[in-house]
Amino acid sequence: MTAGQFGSLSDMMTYSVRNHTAFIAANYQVSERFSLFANLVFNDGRGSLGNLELDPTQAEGAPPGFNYRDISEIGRYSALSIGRTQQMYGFNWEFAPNWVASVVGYYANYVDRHPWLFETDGRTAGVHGGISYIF
Amino acid sequence: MKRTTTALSTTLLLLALGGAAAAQESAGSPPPDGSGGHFFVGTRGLDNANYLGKVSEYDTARQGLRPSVGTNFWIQRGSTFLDVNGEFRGDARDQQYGVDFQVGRYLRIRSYFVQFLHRLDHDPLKDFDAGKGGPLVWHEDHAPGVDYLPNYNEVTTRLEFTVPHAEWLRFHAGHRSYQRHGPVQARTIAHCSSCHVQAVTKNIDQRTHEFTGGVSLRFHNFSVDYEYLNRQFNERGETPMMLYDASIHPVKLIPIFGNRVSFDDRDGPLPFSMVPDGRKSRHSLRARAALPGDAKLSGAFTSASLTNKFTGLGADTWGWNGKFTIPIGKRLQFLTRARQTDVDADDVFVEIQEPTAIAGPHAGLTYPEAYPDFGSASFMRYSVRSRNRFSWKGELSARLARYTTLRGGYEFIRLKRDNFEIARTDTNRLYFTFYSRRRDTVGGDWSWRLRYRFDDVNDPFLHHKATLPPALQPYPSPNLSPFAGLQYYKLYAARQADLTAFPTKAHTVEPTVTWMPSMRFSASLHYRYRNLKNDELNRSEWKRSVHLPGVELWFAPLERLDFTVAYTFHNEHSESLFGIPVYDG
Amino acid sequence: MTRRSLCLMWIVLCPAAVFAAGDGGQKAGPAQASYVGEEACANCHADLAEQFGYSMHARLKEWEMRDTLSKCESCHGPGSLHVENSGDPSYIYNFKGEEGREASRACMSCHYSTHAADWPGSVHFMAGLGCGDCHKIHQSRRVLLPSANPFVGARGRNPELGAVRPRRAGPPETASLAKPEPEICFDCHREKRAQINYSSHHPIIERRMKCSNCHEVHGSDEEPLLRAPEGLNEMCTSCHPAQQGPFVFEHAAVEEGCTTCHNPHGSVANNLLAQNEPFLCLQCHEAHFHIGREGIDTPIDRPTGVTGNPYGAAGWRRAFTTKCTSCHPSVHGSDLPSQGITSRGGSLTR
Repeated sequence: MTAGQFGSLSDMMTYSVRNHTAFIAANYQVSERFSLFANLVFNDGRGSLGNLELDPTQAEGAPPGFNYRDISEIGRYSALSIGRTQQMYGFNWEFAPNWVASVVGYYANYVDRHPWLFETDGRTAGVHGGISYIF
Repeated sequence: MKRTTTALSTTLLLLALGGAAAAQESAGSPPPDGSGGHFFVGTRGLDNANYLGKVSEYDTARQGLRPSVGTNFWIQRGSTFLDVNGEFRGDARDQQYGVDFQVGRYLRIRSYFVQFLHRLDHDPLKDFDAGKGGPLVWHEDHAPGVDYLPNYNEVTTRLEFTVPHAEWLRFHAGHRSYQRHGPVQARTIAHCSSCHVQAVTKNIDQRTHEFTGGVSLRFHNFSVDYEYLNRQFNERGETPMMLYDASIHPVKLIPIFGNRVSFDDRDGPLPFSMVPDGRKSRHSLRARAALPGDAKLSGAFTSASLTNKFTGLGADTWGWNGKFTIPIGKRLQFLTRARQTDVDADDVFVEIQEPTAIAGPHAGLTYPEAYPDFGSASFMRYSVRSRNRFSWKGELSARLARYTTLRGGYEFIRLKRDNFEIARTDTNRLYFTFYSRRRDTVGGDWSWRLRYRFDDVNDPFLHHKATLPPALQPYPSPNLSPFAGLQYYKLYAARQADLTAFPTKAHTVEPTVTWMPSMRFSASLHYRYRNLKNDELNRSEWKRSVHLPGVELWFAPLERLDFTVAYTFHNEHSESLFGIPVYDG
Repeated sequence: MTRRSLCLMWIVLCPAAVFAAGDGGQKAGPAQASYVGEEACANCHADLAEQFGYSMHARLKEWEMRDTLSKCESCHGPGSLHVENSGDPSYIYNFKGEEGREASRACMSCHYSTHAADWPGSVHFMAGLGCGDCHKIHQSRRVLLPSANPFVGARGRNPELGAVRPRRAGPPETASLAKPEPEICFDCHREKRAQINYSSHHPIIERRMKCSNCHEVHGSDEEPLLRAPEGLNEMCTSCHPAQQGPFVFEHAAVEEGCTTCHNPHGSVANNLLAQNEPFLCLQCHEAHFHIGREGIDTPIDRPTGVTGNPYGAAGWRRAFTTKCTSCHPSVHGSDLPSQGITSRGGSLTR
């Protein structure tokens, strides 16, 4: 075959998405004046393009500097694997009539196990607390 | 005309002024006076690490301690009611307020303000870094490390006024203003013969003002609602400029040709990533009538106009829909509905100064002149937005027993596209839902729900001749040089295989079952399954399956202690044809 | 204001007088009963009466009432027999056990315009839901209704308020929902609870948006219950106007609907994309022929003087199969022509 232009290569490609999402919540009214709560959310998400299997023999005589065999690897470049956690724990305490102290602890984590464009791992943890006057 | 307008306006004004202070007595017992609420003062402290764009995508997440205040209070004095709520989360970019003010049932004003950040990605473009000695793939990020945190804020206010002594007449007016401002990334690419991707920071300042005004007429058996909407969108941020690289010979790497790509550095800096200002207006009219036999008839008419203020292009939409529902006996309910929407968007001729080659055998010729079988390039762009959509639906709902309903129906949808290869898509849809609850039994309360829907689509949207077919088609070049052979347009003309992401057949099944044996425990299982397939593509088959099972448990071992545990699994699998031309430009 | 529109207005207003009188609302309860007044109801239902007293329905005016000025009995029907029979619930209309059309009848006698106009025949209506399945009419700002979950309050579990549970502040009056959004929607639409927690999502869990920002739960012309009198795209562009166009260079898939590419409830891929690039795009477009090219392994000097080529022979393949919108960022459409003759400016790179 004369070197130059040829036709095409093709294959059926696949894309898979998988998500596991779990919630746990607990609420406890310990007494008339004191209550506790907790919320947890876990999410594991994945997405990937299935490996292609092009037949490089179909491109024999292709122009020099071309490689169709390794196109099967392109699924790796855009694969996603992400783990997320969000947790909240807190309490409300009516320490005096109409006065409530509340504290919430908060933690969120993002784990990028297979960075796509750049690593996007992150974490934030904090506390939110204060006093409420109820009237 | 002027006299009529004056008379009408005066009448309405007198009605409004005369009745506003003459509040009628409350019905029955007057509502008690009262108030309540809370004020919160506190602090918020965060410790953050690494990239926050995902873990705190909509949160300011400022490191350290910040003040936090909030309030939520209400006051009722007779028939006057005021409700105020607000939160300040330690950062001016993150707050939210609302007020609801009602006077004597005649006047109601609601206003709402929200402001928050949205963290966007900063694409580092690092994947654009390759070479082959000559042609390059390379990138420049002119703003490395910049955080893209545009701010979103919105104020929405709505006023409703019922005319005293003509309470069947109600006016409403509203204003919505929202703004996105801050830095975002803007990208573009210059090519031929290197692919040079560049990114800059673009400071957006997008403001939208939306005004609505309308009137509602309410009678015992009949109501009419009319609303007019006017929306103005302006991008006040500057459009970035870029000097696109010179087009060069891919082997000799010198600009021996003319501008082969329609524009390059010879045209000076050019704008990119431009957001056009827009203007929209819409009239909506809706009417509803209660008919004998508990039947209901409703209809609506919409007329809208959207204009791109930069180009002057517009799209006009008009649509109507009608719905009729009637009970048949004590156990059946019949519904039929028809709807039509027509979109007419402007076509546009794109004025292009076709470049000519400056050297070689085609010097002085445009591309079509150099390659006659290219055909005449048509620069008339026919809008694919122009279309007509009609749908009709018939549905029957049957109450088989107490708390047990079976609902089923058929819907036909016809979509005609004025300017697209797939001129018409018809959808036939069948669906049913079965729902049942059983209470107060020895085994506890049970509820089941089963939903099924089937779509049969003729000629769904697809990309016609998107890729070369799987079969190899050799095109030997006239000589051994890969750059003196097949031209782009011949390659594109050789494409035969259609590609799509739309099904011809779609099944959706959703069973759900909930069991509540006592007031302290409930369990629920749910599943959503979708199977989509397009087996009418000319050279391949497209498929997608979606599984979404889940379980939810709620348990209260003590009267004041409860737990909720839920898990959902999502598994989605798609198949589509991947095609690549064996070609070297 | 044109003459035509003025005439239209009068044509509508004049016949209004004919219908304005009306013949009263729905009749509930035994026909032999008579109205006894709210005070009689409050004698036994003191808690409910106290809560209800601060609700919007307690502030109704005479002109909003139909057969009676007693607010309780305007929905529950005349209560004389109920009182005479020591509160026997069979002598009063109590909504328990009602479903669908019957459960909504009392509410529809007043709420039949604007957003509630489409309730008869809507998806939720036809599924047998009634107004009371989501709304709690008696609750108000005054007192929380007792519930199995004592922590359902003004904003549900809002961590930003420190989970404060004011004892005297009920849910906002706008809807008087039994639970706040989105929790009330998740009672039936359970998989959506998971989806809004995927890595790319609208700010629903952050409480900046609610389901009802996009969905008109009482009924709508556009499925699935969208606030979109003109269609899906119009609803999305009401908040994302930068994509509304109409553009000179269009992307036909966008005109088919935003959900061609996006999953608005949540997704793993960025920007609410149903699948990540490049697969999303490769479903309808072929791959660039450049990805067959093999690069060199040695460092390459850039025009800027920076040396690069970290991916070696795989560089070309990687550049064109990682993220299509790096080069084609104007994927929703553009007014500016892109480079390229054969595409006639429509490559959406600019």
